[in-house]
Amino acid sequence: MSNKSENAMVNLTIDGQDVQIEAGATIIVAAEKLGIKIPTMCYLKKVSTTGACRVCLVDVEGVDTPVTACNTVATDGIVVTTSTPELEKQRKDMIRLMLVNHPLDCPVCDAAGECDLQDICFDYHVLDQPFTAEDVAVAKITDWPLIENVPSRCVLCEKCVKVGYELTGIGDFRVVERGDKAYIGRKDSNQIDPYIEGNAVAVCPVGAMISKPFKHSARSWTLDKVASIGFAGGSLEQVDLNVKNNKLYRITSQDDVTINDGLLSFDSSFGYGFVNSTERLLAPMVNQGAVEWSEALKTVVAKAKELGGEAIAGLSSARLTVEENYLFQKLFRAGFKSNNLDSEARFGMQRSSEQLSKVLGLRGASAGIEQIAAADAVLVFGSDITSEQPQINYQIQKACRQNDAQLLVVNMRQVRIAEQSNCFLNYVPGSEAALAGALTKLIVENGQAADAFLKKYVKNTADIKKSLAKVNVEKVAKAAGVSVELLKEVAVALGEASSVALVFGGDVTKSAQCVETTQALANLAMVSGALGGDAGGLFPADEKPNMQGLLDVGVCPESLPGYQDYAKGSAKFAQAWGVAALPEGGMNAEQVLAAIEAGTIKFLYLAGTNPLVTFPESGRWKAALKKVEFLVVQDILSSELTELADVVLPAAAYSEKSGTYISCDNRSGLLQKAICPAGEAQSDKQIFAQLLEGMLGKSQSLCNQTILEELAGLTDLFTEVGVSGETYLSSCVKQGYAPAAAALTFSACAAATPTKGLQLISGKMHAHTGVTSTYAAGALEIAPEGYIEISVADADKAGIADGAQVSVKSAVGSASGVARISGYVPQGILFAPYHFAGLNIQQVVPTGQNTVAVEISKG
Amino acid sequence: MGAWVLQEVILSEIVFSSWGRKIVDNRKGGEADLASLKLKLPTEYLGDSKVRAFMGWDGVVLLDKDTDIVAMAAEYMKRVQEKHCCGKCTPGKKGTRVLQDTLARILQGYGEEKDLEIIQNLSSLLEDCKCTLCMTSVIPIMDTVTHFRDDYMAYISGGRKPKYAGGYRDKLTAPCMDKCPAHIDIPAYIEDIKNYRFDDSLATIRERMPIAAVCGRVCPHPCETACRRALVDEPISIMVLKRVASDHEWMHHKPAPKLTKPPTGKKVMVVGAGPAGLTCAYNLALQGHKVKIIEMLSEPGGTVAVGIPDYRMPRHLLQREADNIAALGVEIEYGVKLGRDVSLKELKQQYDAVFLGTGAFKSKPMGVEGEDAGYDGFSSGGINYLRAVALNEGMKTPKRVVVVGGGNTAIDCVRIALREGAEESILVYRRTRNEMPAESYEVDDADEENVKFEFLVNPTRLVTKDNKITGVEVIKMELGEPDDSGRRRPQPVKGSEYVIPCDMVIPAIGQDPDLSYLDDSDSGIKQTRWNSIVTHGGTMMTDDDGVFAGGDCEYGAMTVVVAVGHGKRAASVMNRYLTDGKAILDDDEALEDAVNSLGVFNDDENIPVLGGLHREHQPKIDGPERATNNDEIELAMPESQAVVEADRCLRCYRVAMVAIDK
Repeated sequence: MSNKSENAMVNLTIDGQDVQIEAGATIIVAAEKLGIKIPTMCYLKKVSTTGACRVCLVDVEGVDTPVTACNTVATDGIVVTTSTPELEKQRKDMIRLMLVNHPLDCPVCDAAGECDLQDICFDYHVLDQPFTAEDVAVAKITDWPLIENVPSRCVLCEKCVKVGYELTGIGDFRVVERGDKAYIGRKDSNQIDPYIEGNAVAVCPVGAMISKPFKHSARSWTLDKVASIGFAGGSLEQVDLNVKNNKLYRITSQDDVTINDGLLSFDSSFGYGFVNSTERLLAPMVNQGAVEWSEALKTVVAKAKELGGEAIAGLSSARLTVEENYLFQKLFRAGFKSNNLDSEARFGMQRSSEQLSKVLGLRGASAGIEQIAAADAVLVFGSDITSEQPQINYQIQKACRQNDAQLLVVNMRQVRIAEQSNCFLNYVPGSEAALAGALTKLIVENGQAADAFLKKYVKNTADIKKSLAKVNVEKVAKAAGVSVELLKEVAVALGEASSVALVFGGDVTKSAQCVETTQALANLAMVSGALGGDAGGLFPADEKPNMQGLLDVGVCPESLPGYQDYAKGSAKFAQAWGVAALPEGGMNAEQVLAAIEAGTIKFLYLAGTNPLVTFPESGRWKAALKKVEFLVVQDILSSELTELADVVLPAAAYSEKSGTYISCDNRSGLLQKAICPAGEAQSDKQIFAQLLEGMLGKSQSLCNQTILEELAGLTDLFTEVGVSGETYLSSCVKQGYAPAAAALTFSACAAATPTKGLQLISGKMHAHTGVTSTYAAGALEIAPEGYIEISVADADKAGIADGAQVSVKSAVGSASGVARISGYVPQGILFAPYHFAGLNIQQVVPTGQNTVAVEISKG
Repeated sequence: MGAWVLQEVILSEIVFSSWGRKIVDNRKGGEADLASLKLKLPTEYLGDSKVRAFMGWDGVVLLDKDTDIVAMAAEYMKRVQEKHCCGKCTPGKKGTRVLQDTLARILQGYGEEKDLEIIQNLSSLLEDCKCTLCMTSVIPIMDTVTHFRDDYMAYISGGRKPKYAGGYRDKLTAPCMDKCPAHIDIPAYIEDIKNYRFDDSLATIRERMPIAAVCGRVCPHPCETACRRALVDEPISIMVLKRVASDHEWMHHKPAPKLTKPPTGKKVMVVGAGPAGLTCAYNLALQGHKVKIIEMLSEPGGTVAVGIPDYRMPRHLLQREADNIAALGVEIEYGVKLGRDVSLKELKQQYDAVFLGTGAFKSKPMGVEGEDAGYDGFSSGGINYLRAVALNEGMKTPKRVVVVGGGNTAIDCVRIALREGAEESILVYRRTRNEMPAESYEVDDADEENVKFEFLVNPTRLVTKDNKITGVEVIKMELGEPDDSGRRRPQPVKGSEYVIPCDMVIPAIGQDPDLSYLDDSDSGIKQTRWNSIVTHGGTMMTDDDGVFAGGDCEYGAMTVVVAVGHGKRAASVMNRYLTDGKAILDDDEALEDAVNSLGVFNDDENIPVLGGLHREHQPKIDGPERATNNDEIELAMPESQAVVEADRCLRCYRVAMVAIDK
């Protein structure tokens, strides 16, 4: 019998009012239901109770001394009184104790104005202090990165400890020392890819945890909070942009409003500084000289008309909104008469998305990410999920803690989440698809396949056995470098789970085996029953905030918005856009690169994307960009790229514009303009609209709703367009995923093609997202430059010391940077973050891959 | 208790006592002594100093009138605040600091009379503490303020100067922690579980016990009989929470930490890889000593491995624990028996110290006719039957099996017999179910598996045909007057004999240590009249210098957790013996034994906590079908449920302190 899991209800009386709550809930929850506010300093609904402050004392009939409302489980029939003169006196004394040696530095404390201690002292008229004691508080801790800890202000509520441990799983705060000296410490870690728990600042009720980037910059009450969306991770991180005088000061969020429940990514906590960077592009430029907007736009239009659509190509970005990307492709197809348009998705999510659509009829995730928290087993396949999509990580943490989910991690590196896993399959690159196939086979062999689902929805059920017969589990395990026992254990965990959440990320979508692995994961999802039911699902993760929205609007030569075949649908769009016809053909990014090299593409338009750093074979791109006759760079920050540009169009950052982002799980959210664009910058939407006008001579609406309605009219993407929501807004509703009977395809199982020799993986690191964060002082404070992570064994073999300068060389290029010796990469694997122009590791990586065979040398 | 001289032996006057909330004040005459108060408080400390006063969660005991009680109160509060208070609640963190400083101020001559009011006010605020550590620490302080007010006033207005005792020694305890023979810091490991920190929880357990997987499953958990939560609703599932912590590491494929100190160059031999031996070896290895274990069986675990069936204690987990210990550099050699393959004398010559953890493997005879005639179908004893099954020694279990006895081994035998193919498995016990020493839940489990019980009967004769068992003759018994154990003595009913037909009889009425290896040694190791080894003063050292003993061979057949406690204590003393040449207790151990003798749990206490919460139970495989295999019956408690259960813990810490003359 459990006090928690039964759905039984409990009746109790609080201050004379009857209330019913779920068994296992605490008195404070019941009081909240009645609208009775019990004062507390340490209670935080989203983490386990602490009972530290002892302020929430209430009387329960029959119990001799007061009990704490926050962590006392209400039992049936109890009679609670929340306020008596004696209780008020005790609460007041508790507050007085809390104030013993609390410094009187409220005037310079960042928490002033939003300090729970200030409020509670005020509410309780705490005007005197009968207690005195020697001040033994530990001195202010200033040597942590990004966070300053002021123990003398701390009330030891442990909210920071718990939010980091229970909800992100990676925060490392804990109580150290004894007695009044006790304070919040953290492990002194020398991690290569450090994580600093920004949520600690967010949940601190006083001024103990202070954000260094925000410190002493603004009084909280002078800041306007604009509800918007975070700029990293494809899960609509709902945030409040705290602004004043047209400047972004910090990013906060609110509990209890959406599934994110007030949790912030590292990026929102500390990485937002690029918005205020001195490197922001403030004025349009032609030939590197500042010009008026009209001139810059005129130059672009004139050149486009001069060269004609066949010579023009453009690349856009998953940072741009749905409306912007819609206008981008419209500008290209209707305005420039060019179908040579693409994006970074070409090298990643687009390939996965195509496969999921082909075999499952699925775009994006099969369910809302909150279904991850409800799953019995979570498989994280080829994703550094804590870094790629922190909000998915939060759901995984919930699954593990609240739902006792089995966590199974499959990765080439020991990514953070691997440390928490029940099983970790550390595979050799090239064995991804085969591993997923082996798991599928084992589940079927164990008799644990979701047979009813397969029977109803899979059209080629007969192929399942046939394809799996070819899979040799032992051989796969050997090729992948994992133990058969562990592989079997993972399969049993997936098979036994009544619901499975399957999360995959960049190591799948960007890999050479993306197609096969996606198909294999789709097989695994079907067989493990991940696609049915109200828990679990299949979740493709991506670090970019609007990757799904980018895909949805067809920024690629092969499809029009709403995934409509380009050739088939172009007449419809031409008509809608009022042009005679859309151009034929079309080149993708890879073909564009070749065409620039061949001299057939003469005009390249880059909107919010930087191939010099982020695209594979970035060295080849650099040569091509130098060669291209006319380069338009529309971006927010100056870089080597803008230096190459013939025309620079300064764009508004995400905090300076409005528009729609679509999350990986097909929810939509509305970016809100919180400040004016820097300098003369304009939103991408404005720029595209003006160019479109310049090309077509017709006006283009800038209204998000109008653009979305146009998009909705041409596609079946949305079931509804229109702003909804209270705090955090949404602009449209997308169709949910519901597979049709006999519509899914079980794909053939791919064999392992394990790589040999030293392999380099390029990927995302925690502190950074794309290239923009390398302009954010906060992110740079903990991760200032690129590096090449190497195992102890490989370092020893090559005689490389930690911090030494090394070079890596592949068939397509070489790069050099500092070596960091680590236990997180196995022997045979190197890892390098792709964000840094200095290291520029993408020079080494061939197109369509994220791993490459390299040689490493000193120097 | 050698380091301590118990009050039952030597009478001692007491000056004042408020212990147990009962005030005895002999300052102006009176003759009450510790014995008359039934206070089992030692008067001597570690053999060479005298106890002058004692302060703790339930009051103050003053033995020497010259003790400066105010100075002692100040010292006590200082230690509570600076050494023990976790800081995790406002009144504890701040309140005890204010108390410490207020008492210090008084001692320094800067006190005012209103400080006494502050102390009083704070002590009522501290009743709202998160746990009982700081909460109970004000009890002795308030007793001194109430009953020694003159002494306080002498400081406040009389300029008295403090007169410190020769020394103060303090000890953190809790009722559960005290009752646990291994003295695990139970509140700490439960709090870690409450905070989802399963690895930290296991680390806390491992400070006292390297085989948490075992004691998380088959411990008789005496701690739970001392759980204060039981006074509110039901005791905490302390044992099961230990399993949760232990299983977490195993189920996450995490390696056990290896934190050994640098090698000392000392060599230790541990005889027996049972719970006592493994625990001793583990702790010695952590200290940097080179340890070798010899084990007569072919696998680790001793009685746990071959005496506890796999459905209660899967042996692969026992093996995992042994592997973790071996990973610290401990060598384990199997199939080597002391007395047969090697002599104690040889071991003593080759090693710097020896620990004997040889268990109790000799079955007690039933004392019935034909018992030693070597009949086919008569087992030499329950423990041997279990071992033969566990080690796959070709033991054939026939259709009808009778097991004689009422303890855990008997229960294990009837249940194993079912799993080994017996169609009928019958337990014969001379008293009733109520008097069975076996754990009651295990008796219930056996019942559910269709074991048959014959209560109030005692075997009188083996019935045989062609040298083969065909039945056992039993006589009916009735319960008479209580015996020494408090249980009613069974007496035979004349002429009530009858025969239970069967193919096999397994006597399981107890085991003794087999100490034949001492026979030809000149070690001087003394034995008790129950064939167990004598050790001294809680040091676990035998009469032979450098030879230690613990577990069943020292105590007689007892529990796993007693063996673990012995192994840990022995390792601790052996470490001192190996480094300083002295086999003595340290302060912590001395006080551990002292508070244990005094008793920490008080079942009369009224606890002002809202109860009404059930104890959480781990799921279990149902009914008779489980008796068809050896799979573990008790399933792992989901971690989220463990967190809910852990949240019920009242964290009943207490701080004890003695003032001694030296």
